[in-house]
Amino acid sequence: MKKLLNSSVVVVLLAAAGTQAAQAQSASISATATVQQALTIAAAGNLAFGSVFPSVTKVVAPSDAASGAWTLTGAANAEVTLTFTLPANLTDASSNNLPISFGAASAGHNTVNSRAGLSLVNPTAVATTRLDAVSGNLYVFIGGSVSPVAQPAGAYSGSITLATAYTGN
Amino acid sequence: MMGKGRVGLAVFALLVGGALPLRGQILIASGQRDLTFGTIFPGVPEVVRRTDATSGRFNLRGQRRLEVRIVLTLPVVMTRTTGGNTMPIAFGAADGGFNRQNNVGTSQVFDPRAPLVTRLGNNGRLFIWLGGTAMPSSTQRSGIYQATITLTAAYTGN
Repeated sequence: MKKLLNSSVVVVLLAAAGTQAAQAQSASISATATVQQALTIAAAGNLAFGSVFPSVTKVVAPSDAASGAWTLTGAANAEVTLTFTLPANLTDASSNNLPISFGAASAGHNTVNSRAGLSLVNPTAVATTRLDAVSGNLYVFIGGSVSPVAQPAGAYSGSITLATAYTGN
Repeated sequence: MMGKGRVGLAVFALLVGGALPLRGQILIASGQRDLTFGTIFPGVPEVVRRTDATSGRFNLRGQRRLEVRIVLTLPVVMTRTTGGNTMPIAFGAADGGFNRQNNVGTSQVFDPRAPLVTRLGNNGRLFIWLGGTAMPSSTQRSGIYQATITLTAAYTGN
């Protein structure tokens, strides 16, 4: 009877070991990411042609004080795209048009807030550049030309939009 | 009479031991490597493939060739460690990989969003890799984001 009892204990132990092994096992890892600061953009000045005269084309270079300007701020040295949305005309209150055009060197950017020493870009295409390696700033300027014809006198205006985004590089 | 009784119990013990894994064959799951997206930019989704060096990795060890059922508990957001903000994280049908050798290059693809039923290798091992996509918004607040991914595994009995 004693031997019988010992054998029964062996059976119970084996069954217990099996129960433990059948339990689900878990392990965890982490997913991690470090997000850089968001890119911000602010308009810093309008493109102002001033007074113009019929049949006289007026050109503003991006390096001129009258050029339009934006300021970008983001992660230092990050690559960004610059995408301009350009008008074909300026309009007055009566919807009269004044044609405006942009050339291959009508825009420029700089990592310091200066119109001197710009890196020129074509605003009709998407440009790619980097924010300043220390400050994370970028200054963008745009010129253009207007070609008034025989049109009503008055104030004409249009909107120029600059969109920017990180490339991830 | 007693001798017959011992023989009967011995047979019973062998049957129980054969039907259930023994102590030395307990299934062990371990997290081996975090899924690391590194430094990312607001508005730019970051993809880590299962074959990348920064993919997540789990190891399973148990009784060779036994069938196991694996479930991954996947987060839908990562949380900024200093508080408050979250960032979506997504997993696709090809983000999981498994292999019985530690070689992601020859791993088989599986959908980590669904349970995986497979067998441990002849070495009693199974390696699982996990990729994913972090999706920061264009206005995502800067900082370190983290989430937990849990793998749960159990023998199916097959």
